[in-house]
Amino acid sequence: MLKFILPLILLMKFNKEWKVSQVGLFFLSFLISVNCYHNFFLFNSGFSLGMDYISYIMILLSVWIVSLILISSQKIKNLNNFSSSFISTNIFLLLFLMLTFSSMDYLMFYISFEASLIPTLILILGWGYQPERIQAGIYMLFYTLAFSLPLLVSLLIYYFLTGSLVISLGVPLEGENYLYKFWYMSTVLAFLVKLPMFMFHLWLPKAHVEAPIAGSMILAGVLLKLGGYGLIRVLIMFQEMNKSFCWFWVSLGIVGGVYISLMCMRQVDMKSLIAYSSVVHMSLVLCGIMIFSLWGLAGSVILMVGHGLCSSGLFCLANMVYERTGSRSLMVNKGLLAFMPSMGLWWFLLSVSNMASPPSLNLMGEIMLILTVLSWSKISILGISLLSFFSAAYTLYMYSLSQHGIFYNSLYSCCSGKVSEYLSLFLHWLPLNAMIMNSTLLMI
Amino acid sequence: MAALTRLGALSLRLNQRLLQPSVVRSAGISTSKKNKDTVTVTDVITDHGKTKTESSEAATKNWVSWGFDRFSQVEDNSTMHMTFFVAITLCIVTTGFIWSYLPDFRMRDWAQREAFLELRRREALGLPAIDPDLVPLDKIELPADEELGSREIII
Repeated sequence: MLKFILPLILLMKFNKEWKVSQVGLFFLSFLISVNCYHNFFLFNSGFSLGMDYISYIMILLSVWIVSLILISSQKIKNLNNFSSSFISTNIFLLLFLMLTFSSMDYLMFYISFEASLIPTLILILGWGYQPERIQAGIYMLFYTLAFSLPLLVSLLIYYFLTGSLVISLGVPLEGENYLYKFWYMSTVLAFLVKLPMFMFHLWLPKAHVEAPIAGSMILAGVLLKLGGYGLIRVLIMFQEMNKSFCWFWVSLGIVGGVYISLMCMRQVDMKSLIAYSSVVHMSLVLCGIMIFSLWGLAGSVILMVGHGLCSSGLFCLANMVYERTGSRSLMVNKGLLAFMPSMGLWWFLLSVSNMASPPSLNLMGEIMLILTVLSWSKISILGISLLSFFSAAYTLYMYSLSQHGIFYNSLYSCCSGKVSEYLSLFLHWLPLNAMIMNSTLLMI
Repeated sequence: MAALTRLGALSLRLNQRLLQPSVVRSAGISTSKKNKDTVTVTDVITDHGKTKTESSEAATKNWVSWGFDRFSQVEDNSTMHMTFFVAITLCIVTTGFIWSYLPDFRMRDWAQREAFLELRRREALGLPAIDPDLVPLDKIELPADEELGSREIII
């Protein structure tokens, strides 16, 4: 594992040269991607870090998204808006994410999980555009911190009782009284806020809208998946207790998902719409994880990867429009096919992947999760069908309102699209649509 | 007779092409203003030999950036080449090739072969595909009814 982390730390030395960092991060993702072939479930282990199948794909996703961040944030490079600090912040964030996903110890996982919040906060506060970003940063920080302190306490109690915090040696806890329920809740809530689940999702639209493109991409692409990944790791301990509570989380996930997808149809801000659609996708992921069947876990991992690529790509597109017109509102940015016809291709491809059309990873994940939730309870077909229907509805709404129709009169003309922008969108779209062919790499 | 004329015309054309000067005078037909002064004809001499500097100057004048560097064409071009090489050639093409030709990733093909072999063995012996007593009944310990009480059984 150190063979990836040490080059990453060395890359921090090159924060003054954008070209070197950009190419170096892509090369790092190439190195990680050729390390995929192992026949034992735990590989690349050393120094209490190791990879197994989920963490491998999550690490690959993080490095890929951070490389794409550097391509998409050309404005920071051109205006020289503290570009060296920007690169170091991104590399720090990537370092903590890699440590989180590869940690074999719950405490190491917790420390890196919390540590990844600081560079994200710095990204939002430092390179965001509006004064509301202060409130957005505070919401994100305090929502996550308030629920993760009980997680720390519960991990320490676990260590006290069982003597070890190594994830692979997790002892399933058995107990029925209220104290065990409290213990379960305090552990699981931290990840539910990160995921985010419906009742605790308020930080997400704020943080996504106020963040710069780098912040939005890393939040949607990887940080939300920390919640799902943490849940998968932590539920090893709490399997028995989870069975008593999973009805609550699945119901909240489905009902909340339907409600949020209705909220999506009301949004005027493009980034806000994509942020709420992230909540909808993640609520389906939550249902799959909580049911804890094989297809539930595999489907949730696939949907997490697919959503990471797709939402990140949509945020890139919204940012490209924002850089040209200065507004994120769908009322201003309409009829864009007249201005940027070539970009319309990418709007289309990423929008249809968002609504889980074949052949995207989102489709595979959603099918597996729908089957999982249905096998768990037949009545959930009502909620699931509404969820799928409205996810198509709001995505179509966003695509057709932004692309089709007559354009806003005050817009004159803009650059149709630079090659670097097309490259970043292509690199979002290709893994999303090609990996369905060989998705054994993504399954648990 | 006609053949001779054609041959003659062909040889004249060949002669013309072989002896075409590298410097061509193009005499334009537009004239200067009609006044009593002597008219000076200005010829435009296009030099076919040296066009590279002109075209490269024209290229830098109307340069469209690839998007990697707004100010320097050399930097932009070199960043474009490097980024495309690492991102597309290495990460997409090479990785895609390696992933698609990985031998028996996670032993899935092996497991299917073993399953078919086991099924064939069982069918030959007349056994069912999966033994109903996969777990021997004496190994299963269920809690007594009093212990369970009114607790819900979730399967």
